[in-house]
Amino acid sequence: MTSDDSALPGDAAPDDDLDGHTMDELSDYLDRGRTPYDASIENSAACRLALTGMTRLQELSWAGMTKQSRLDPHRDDAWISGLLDTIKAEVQSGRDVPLSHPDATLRLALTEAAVRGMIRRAGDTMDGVIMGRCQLDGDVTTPGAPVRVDVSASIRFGMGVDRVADELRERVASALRRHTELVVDGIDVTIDDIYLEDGHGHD
Amino acid sequence: MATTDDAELSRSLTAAVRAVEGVTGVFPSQPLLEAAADALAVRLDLREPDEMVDIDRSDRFTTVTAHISTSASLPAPETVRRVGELIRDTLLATGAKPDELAVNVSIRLVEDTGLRTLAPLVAGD
Repeated sequence: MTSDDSALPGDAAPDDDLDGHTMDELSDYLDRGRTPYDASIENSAACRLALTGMTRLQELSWAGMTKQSRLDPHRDDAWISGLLDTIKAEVQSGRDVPLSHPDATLRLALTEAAVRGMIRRAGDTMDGVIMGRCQLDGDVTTPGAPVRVDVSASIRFGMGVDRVADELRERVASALRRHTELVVDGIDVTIDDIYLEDGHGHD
Repeated sequence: MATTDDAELSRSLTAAVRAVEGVTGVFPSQPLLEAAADALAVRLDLREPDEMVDIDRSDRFTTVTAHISTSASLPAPETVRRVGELIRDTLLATGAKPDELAVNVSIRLVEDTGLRTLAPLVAGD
């Protein structure tokens, strides 16, 4: 990616939450294969969460889609911009999600961003699925309090919506059971977009 | 700011936490500006990022804070408990009293791999 190409649609939003880095810098760093090693990026949880999300977009020919969006801004620009903004918003640490320990000396937690990241990964690792929104609704800071998970996703044309939604729901539930102590009251899945095989042509 | 002894303790704890099974990284625990200065120092090869665990002593109370990333291959609660217990036991071994000690461990990232670099997935334009 050239420096000119690095002006991605999602860069309109402030980057204060990326520990001094911008989405442009992270994009270029990703394009260089994360080399040379940059400690200020790799030692930032926010940057690494953002890189994880951006990697998924790269897998879907992000560069190609970005180019296409410049040729026809009304086509994919809003979609890419929305995904980048979502990723950027999700890397903020957010609330602490407690993990129990019998010794009161120890206060253990996951950040809300870490939980959102694992939910995103649970969906993004499904073939044909691109995660959109990942939200935790409810009091995640109180052990035992019921919470709901609200996610949206884009799926490849031709996939069955019901089947994908069911599988996505189960994968998210499994990840949350394994890595958190949240009491999940429900997982709401919205399939809000369909894309074609080559990554273009979003509704 | 940590004393020399606490700086050494922080280095020791950082290394020990990194070695815990399931831990893939340790992040700075201090405020953003201080962390940015540290990152700059590391970038300029002035200092290694080896004091990531924060030790705060005030009013005879010691608070130790560590921010980590963990591998998704192990349940995050198990990993964070191991880290918390390691820090607690280390502090107690140095003479800290249980009722004057707090250990905060926060998982900032759960990731699929502990690798620090990944191969490029898409070639440049």
